[in-house]
Amino acid sequence: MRHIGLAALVSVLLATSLVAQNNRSAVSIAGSDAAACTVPDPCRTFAVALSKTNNDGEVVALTSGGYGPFIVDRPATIVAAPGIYAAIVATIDAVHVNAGAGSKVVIRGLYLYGAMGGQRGIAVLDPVDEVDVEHCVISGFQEGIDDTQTLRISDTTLRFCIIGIRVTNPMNAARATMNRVELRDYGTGILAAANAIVTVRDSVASRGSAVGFDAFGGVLNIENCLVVNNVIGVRADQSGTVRVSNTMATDNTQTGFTNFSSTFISWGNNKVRGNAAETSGTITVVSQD
Amino acid sequence: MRRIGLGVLVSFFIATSIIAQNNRTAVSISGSDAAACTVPDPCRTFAVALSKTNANGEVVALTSGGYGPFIIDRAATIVAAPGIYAALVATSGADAIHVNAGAAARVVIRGLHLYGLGTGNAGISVTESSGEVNVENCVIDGFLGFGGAVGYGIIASLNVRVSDTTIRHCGGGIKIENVSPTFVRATINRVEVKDIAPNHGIWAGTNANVTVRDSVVSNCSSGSGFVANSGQLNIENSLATDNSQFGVDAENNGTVRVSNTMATHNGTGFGNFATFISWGNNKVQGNSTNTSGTITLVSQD
Repeated sequence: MRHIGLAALVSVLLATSLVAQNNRSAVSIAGSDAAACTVPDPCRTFAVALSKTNNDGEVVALTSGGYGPFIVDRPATIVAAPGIYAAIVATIDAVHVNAGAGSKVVIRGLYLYGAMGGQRGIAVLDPVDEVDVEHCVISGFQEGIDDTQTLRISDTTLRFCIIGIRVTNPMNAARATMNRVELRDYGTGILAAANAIVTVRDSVASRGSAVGFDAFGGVLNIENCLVVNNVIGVRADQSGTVRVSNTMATDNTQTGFTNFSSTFISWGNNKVRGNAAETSGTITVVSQD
Repeated sequence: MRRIGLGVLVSFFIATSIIAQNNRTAVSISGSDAAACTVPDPCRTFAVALSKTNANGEVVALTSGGYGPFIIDRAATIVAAPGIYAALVATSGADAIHVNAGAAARVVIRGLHLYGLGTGNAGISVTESSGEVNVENCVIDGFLGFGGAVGYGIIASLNVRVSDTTIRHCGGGIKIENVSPTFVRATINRVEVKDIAPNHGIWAGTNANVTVRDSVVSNCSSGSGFVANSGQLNIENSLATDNSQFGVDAENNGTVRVSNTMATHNGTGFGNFATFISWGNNKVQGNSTNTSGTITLVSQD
């Protein structure tokens, strides 16, 4: 009888430890994935730390180093402590979000590298309520960020990607807001394809082998930006819509602004000079309100 | 007689140590609340460290970790050392930081990450007593409220200045209002407010004079981005997008003044049921309805 009682107690303790989760998990370069993943007892990888984190909890990188690619399978904040260099090298996706419909995910302060052939820096391709990308550096992927859902990006640098940020959805609206984003050395900087509704402000797209800001079937609102050293600075194509304000397009090798049988609206306050051709197609000027 | 003298001396030293306070206190993940709360001997929680801090002193987080919700009961600066992740999780229905510092007290909250886990009341509540509260470089997340009450990122009936701060996943973003006949003033610079429900992004209520610049409000999924409801709301160089009701709204005798701002993909871009002034340099397109009500244009000076 006492043995049965003891066995039951051990089972309860084991079960408790199996479901034990943290509101705040942590990783450290000196941590171990066998640890509790708490701040005093951190794990080694984001993937394991996240698996021990409650919904809506945090995973914090405490020391500088590499923490491995991972799937965000629940609502959570993945964050590097300010001043900490938390890097991920990916062969496929660095961060793949599959957190479930209604989930809110934050990715903040991470350095994502795909120079070894990575597909996507951040993949937001499965149902989710909103993904916030803040203070990240994303470099060397086929797509820096690939989004079919709702995305807010701020204070982030994307470089050496074939497509910097792609937003599209085959069925429903895919929405994105971008604030203070730098895109450098890409094929296309921001691609708003079918069903995309994208607004970008205070951002720069420089050195593209194709287009800086491309409304290729989607809607792209641009405020207070710079497009420079692309083939085409800003383009509306495939029935896409561009609305652009207070933006400079210069030193693009084909055109600054191009409307290819689509919709291109300007508030008449843009600066388009120094391109091979300044504009192509109809630019519709509307008055400010 | 000598024993009495010794007793008095011991009492004096004990009393002195009890009231001993620091101009600079510190917290660390390896600290103890029984410590002196100094940099070489840090405490474990903000609440205890603050209790050992002189008025107008500092409390500094030295290492990354969680330091618990607290009440600011005096003029003080609460700051994470640059490079340090100092987080607080509020308990259900409570505030992460509640300011009750005394009239005229100057308070600074800088570099903190505040989490409400969906049930917190407010990230920062400035509703009791303070002179001026400065919120700088903070992240405020998940204050949806508890028991039917709506939670806010920041709620203030006294003066606040907010800069370089992100507020997300809250019931309302920033609510400024003072229902007594006292004006409350707020300045908001480089602030991002996103994914808010059911209330609004930035709200200027009764007796509020609020000025916002270089800021973004997105995805108020059942409310509006910027609202002047009885109060005054000046908006410069900002963006309102993906908000369900209005991008910018003046109602209930409120006044909006808006310049160099984009409103796009909202229910209505600019809506006026009160006083709505534009300098004629705003970009309002791509909303279900771009403008409703009278937008009064004034010339720039």
